[in-house]
Amino acid sequence: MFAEWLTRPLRALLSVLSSNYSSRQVAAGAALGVMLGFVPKATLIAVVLGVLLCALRVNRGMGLLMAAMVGSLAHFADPWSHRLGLWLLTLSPMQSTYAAVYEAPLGPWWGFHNSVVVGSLLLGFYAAYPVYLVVKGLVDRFRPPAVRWASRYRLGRLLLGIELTATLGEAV
Amino acid sequence: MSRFVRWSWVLPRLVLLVALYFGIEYLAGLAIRLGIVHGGQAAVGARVEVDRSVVSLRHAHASIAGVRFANPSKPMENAVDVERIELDFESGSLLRGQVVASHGVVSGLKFGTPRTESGELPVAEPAAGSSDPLGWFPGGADAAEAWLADVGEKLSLDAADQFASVRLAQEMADRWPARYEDLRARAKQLEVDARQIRDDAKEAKRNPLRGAEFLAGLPARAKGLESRLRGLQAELNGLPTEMQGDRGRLAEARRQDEALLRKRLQANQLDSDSLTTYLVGERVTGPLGELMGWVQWLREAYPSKKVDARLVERARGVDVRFVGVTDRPDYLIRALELSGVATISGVPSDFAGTITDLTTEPGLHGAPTRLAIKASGPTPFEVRAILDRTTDVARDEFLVDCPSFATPAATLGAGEKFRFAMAPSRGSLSLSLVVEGDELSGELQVIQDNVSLTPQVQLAGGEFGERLRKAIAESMADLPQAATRVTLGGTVKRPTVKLWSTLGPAVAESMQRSVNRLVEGEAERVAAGARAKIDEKVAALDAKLAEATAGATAELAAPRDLIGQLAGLGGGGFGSGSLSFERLGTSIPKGGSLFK
Repeated sequence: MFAEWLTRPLRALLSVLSSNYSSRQVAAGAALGVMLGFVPKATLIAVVLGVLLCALRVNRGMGLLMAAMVGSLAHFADPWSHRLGLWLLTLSPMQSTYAAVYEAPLGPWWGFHNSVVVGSLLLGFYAAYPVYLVVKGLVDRFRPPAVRWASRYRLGRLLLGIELTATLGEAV
Repeated sequence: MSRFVRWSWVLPRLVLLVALYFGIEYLAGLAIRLGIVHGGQAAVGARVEVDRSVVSLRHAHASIAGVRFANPSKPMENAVDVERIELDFESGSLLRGQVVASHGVVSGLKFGTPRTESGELPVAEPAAGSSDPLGWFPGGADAAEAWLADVGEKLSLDAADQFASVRLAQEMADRWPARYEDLRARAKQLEVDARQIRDDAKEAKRNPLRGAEFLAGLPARAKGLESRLRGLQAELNGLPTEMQGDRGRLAEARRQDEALLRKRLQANQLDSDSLTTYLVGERVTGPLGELMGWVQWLREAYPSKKVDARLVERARGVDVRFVGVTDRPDYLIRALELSGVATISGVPSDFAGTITDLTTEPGLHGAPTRLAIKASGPTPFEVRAILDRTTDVARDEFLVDCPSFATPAATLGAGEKFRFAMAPSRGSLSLSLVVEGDELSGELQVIQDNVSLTPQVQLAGGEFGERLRKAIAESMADLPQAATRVTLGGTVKRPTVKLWSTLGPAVAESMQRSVNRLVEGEAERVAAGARAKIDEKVAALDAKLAEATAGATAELAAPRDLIGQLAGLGGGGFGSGSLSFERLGTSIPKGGSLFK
């Protein structure tokens, strides 16, 4: 149990190499993770993105990895996020629409009236597709050699085996 | 669908979510209880207790029982004790991140109930603002006590011994007997001299040759003696006139003394304003200080700050307030029904009322908070308050009207030496207070019917205090009505107070009258004492002088006879033609007639 808990992050990382996940699932997980990483977490948008990452059949490991990486660097992008979000939120023709959404139930909980939330969400959306394409390409290109390289080591084989067993178990 | 959704992950989370909902149903009650306790303690500065709280998210309803706010200034008493609070929330508001109760009921509201344990907080939290009422009536109490001390000092003086007339009578009593004694001594000396000359003359007559020279000078010597006798006689005759002059001076001195005494004992005019302050000031400053403390607290707790900015700074970025979005406060109770029991002067009265638009952010809410409470029963009263934060300048308005309430027995008077015990009676109270910005204006009026006051005087010299108390009590008729008005002004932080009451002038007049009567009696007593002393001294003097006059007359008889004998010895050559010895003797007034 404890060993499983200890090896879970590594397994999640190595699940990228597992042939059980297609390159599209890994790339979709990465795209969702990037969006989640950008968005401030104390909003309903972040919760929904997190739920999507966990509930959809995408690679969670890649998604969480990307979310953690992007999240730790996201505050550096806050000035741009803020400027972008502020521009969007202060568009005069959109005010009534925004107001209607804001007044709707759960409106304030989404946090979309915050400039950084909206700006970072836009940045996340903007970055999602390129990330998807890049990650998909990289997985297709590097996964077979990486699996071969990991198989050369005992630990790699062990982790890959556990992951395979877990995947089979899940399938059964 | 299962191609995209990981149901094995979703379904357990959904179950967890349902469990969480039920957990929240239970925990929300606990959370609201903790919120009331901590928020209340921070606001009031004393212990706040909640017995039970149940919150239903499904029904958007909260029920709280047994809420007690301890009184920070009286730890063994609850400022407010609420039996039950029921709140119906608008469920939509919770989804918008706000807590809006459309309707609420607060029942079993009581004030000033006793506590079994102290309501003091272990670590003192800032209490509700308390205004320092001291210094509102500078010098008022001092002036009244100083007046009373002055009266006491004046009346406790025994001035009789300091009278000039008494001193003059004493001086006369000392001087006149000495004068007569001197006269008698000189008469005695005259007799001795006359006797000596007579003996010498007899001796000379027996031997005329040897005594020729003496006999030749005898007429001259006899004349000298006669002259001395005439002088003494004249002096003795002039004494009654001189004595009359002294009596006149004594009478004049007595008149002046009595006038001076009355002037000295004249009590200063008692300032009715000072007396009003002395009597009512303390009773007024306490409740007013408390009221001002609550007003200050209300100003801090109920801010007028409006959020006008379209952009609100946050830790990350800014929150944009969209055009067309209605600003709503985070916490709002649209209507709260109140009912309970208010105890006024020990008499409980049921009351009921409503508070509308009660919110934590009145600046965001478009309507002012209104309070309307009405009580019926033995002590009917009506309270109305409007807390308006809809304009740039915050405005609070308070109206209290109590047409009839029982005023308990009380002690009037700020000092310890002089007080009035006021018997229970009935009265009416009205308060009107407006706070606009920081400016304060208002009026408190209390009218009491059939006011009965009993003076309690404690002055040094118990006898005088008792006499003064009796005098004041006799003159202090029951007042059919006493009106007291307090005019408030200044600012919330530095309020000013003007006090006016019919009680002060009525009591002042009564006291002045009784003190004047007492002073008049005292002046008469002192003057009578002085008169008695003078009369006694004068009577003693009269007796002494009658005796002295008789003595002096008798003393002069002997030398007169001797001088007569000398005339016989001298052959009648002297003493004739000028003043015969018989005439000299008869011209002396009879003893005792000098001072009639």
